Amino acid sequence: MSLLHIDNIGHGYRTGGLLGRRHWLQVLDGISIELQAGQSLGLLGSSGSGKSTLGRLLLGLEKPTHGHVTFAGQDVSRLRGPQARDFQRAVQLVFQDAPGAFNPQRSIGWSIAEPLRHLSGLDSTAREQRVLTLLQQMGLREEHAERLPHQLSGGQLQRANIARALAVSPQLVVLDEALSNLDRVLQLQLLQRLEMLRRESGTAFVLITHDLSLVRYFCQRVVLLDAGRIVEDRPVDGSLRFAHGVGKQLQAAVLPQRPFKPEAANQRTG
Amino acid sequence: MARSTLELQGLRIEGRAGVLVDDVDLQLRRGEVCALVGSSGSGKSLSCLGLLDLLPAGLARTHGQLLLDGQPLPAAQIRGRVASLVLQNPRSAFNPVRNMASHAQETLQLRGIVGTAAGARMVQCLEAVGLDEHERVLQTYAFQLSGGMLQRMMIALALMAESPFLLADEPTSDLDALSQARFLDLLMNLVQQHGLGVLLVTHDMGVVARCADQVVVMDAGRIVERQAVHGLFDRPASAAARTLLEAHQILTGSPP
Repeated sequence: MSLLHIDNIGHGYRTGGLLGRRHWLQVLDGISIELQAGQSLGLLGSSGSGKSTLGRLLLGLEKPTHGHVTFAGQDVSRLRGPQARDFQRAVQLVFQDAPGAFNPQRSIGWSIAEPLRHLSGLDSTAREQRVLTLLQQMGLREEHAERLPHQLSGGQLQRANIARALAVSPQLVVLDEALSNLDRVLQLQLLQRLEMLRRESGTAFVLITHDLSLVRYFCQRVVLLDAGRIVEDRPVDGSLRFAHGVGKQLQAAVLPQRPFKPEAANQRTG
Repeated sequence: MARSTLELQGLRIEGRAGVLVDDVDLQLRRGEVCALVGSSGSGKSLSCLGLLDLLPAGLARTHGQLLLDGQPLPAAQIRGRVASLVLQNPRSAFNPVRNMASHAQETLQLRGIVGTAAGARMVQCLEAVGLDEHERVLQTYAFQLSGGMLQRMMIALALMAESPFLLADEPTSDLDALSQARFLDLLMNLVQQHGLGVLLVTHDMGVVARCADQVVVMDAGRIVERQAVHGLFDRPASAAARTLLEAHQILTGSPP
C-alpha cells in the first residue's frame, strides 16, 4: 500500500468580494499522485500553477472540492480525535517564510520542542535532549536553542524550522519552497542532510519548488504542474528532459553552469 | 561616453561590534557587469549600501571615497544621478499609498521632465523593461503587482533617472526561475544596448556565469579574490570562491 494516495482531486476557490462579481476559480483539476514510503517527489511549476494549494490539500488543511487524499489508507479529511493526532504527527509542512513561522518572543529551543509537547509523550528532559539532537542534525549548535528568532540569520532560522518539522519523526515532510531563499551552499548542505534522513529512516519528501536544479539533485520523481493540471510525471535521472512547453521553459531558465560569454570580451583586467 | 568608470576606494564600515567591512575597492565600467559574491554575512550587501552611504542606523562609513572618472564625488551626488540601486525585496521599496505613475513622476521631475514629455518617457522605459501593459501598470499600487513586475518597475525607474550605473543587491533571489531568467535577459540587454555599468551582488554562481565580466569575492568583510569570470570558474584561488563554485556545480549537475 502506498503511503500517500491522491485520487483524482480537484479544488477551487470562490473569488470576488461583497461587491465584486463572484466567480469560481478552478485551481487544481484531475490530480492523481501516489507516493511510497522513503520516496522523494518534486512538485515543479511556475507561480500560480497550483503547487502550494496541492501541498495544503496533502496536509488536510483544506478539503478538496472533489476526489480524495488518503494517507496510509485513511481519507485525511475524515480524520477525527486520536487518528487526526496520529496524522499530524506523521505529516509535517515547512514553508518558505521562516521568520514568520517562529514566535518572536520564545527561544528557538522552545519552538522546536512545541510539536513534542503536543504530539509526543516525552518528558521535559527527554524533549531537551531531542531538541539538541535535532539542532545537531541540521548543522546548528547547542547555544542556538537559547536564542530568539531575530538573533539567527535567515539560513539558520530555516534550518531550525526544518528541525521542528522533523521533531516528531514524521513519515512525510512537505517542503513548500522551504529552500528557495537560501544560498546555494546552504541548499546543498540541507539537501544532503535530508537525503541521509530519507535513506536511514525512510522519511518521504515532497519538495515544492520552481527550481529544477533542486529537483534534479534531491528527487526520484518529478510531477510538473501547469494551470492546475499534471502535465508531466516522470522519473528523475541523468537524462531528464521535459516534453511539455512549461517544462522546457523551466529547463531553459536554469542558469548556465559556466560562463558562456566569449572570453576575449573579458580580457580587460581591473 | 563622458562618464565611464565609477570607483570605490578603501571602503571601511564600522558598527558597535567593530569593523564589519574593510579595505574594499571596487571598479565599475560602463557596459560591464562586476559581480560581488560571497556567502551570507560576508559583507557584500553592506559594501553595496556603504558605497551610496545608505547604511542602516548604527553603522557608519569611516573610510572610503568615490571617484567618477578619477574625480572624487560625495555619495549624495552619486545616488540616483550616477548610480541607481535595486534591492532584493522590491515590495518594501515602493510607497504603498502611491501608484506607479506617481513614483515615475517624482523621478522624472528631478530630471526636469514634466507633462507630456514625462508621459512619453514613462511609456518608453516601461516598454524597455517588458512591462507592456503600461497604462494598467502605471495605475496600480505595489500590492497589485507580482514580485517580478515590481523588480522590473524598479529598473524602469532607474532608466528614467538615466543613471549610467546600476547597483543591484540580490535582485533575483525572491523571483521564481522564469522571472529570474527574464530579469537577467533584460539586465544584459541594458548593459549591451545602453552601456549600463552594473554591480551585481549575488551568492548564486549561476547568475555570475550568466552575467558577469569581472568577479570580486568577499569573505568576512574583506575582498579575498578578484578575477575575470572565466579565470574564476577555471582557477578559483580563494576558499570562499571554491565553496560557492562547488555547491553550484553539484546542484547544476556535473561535479568538478
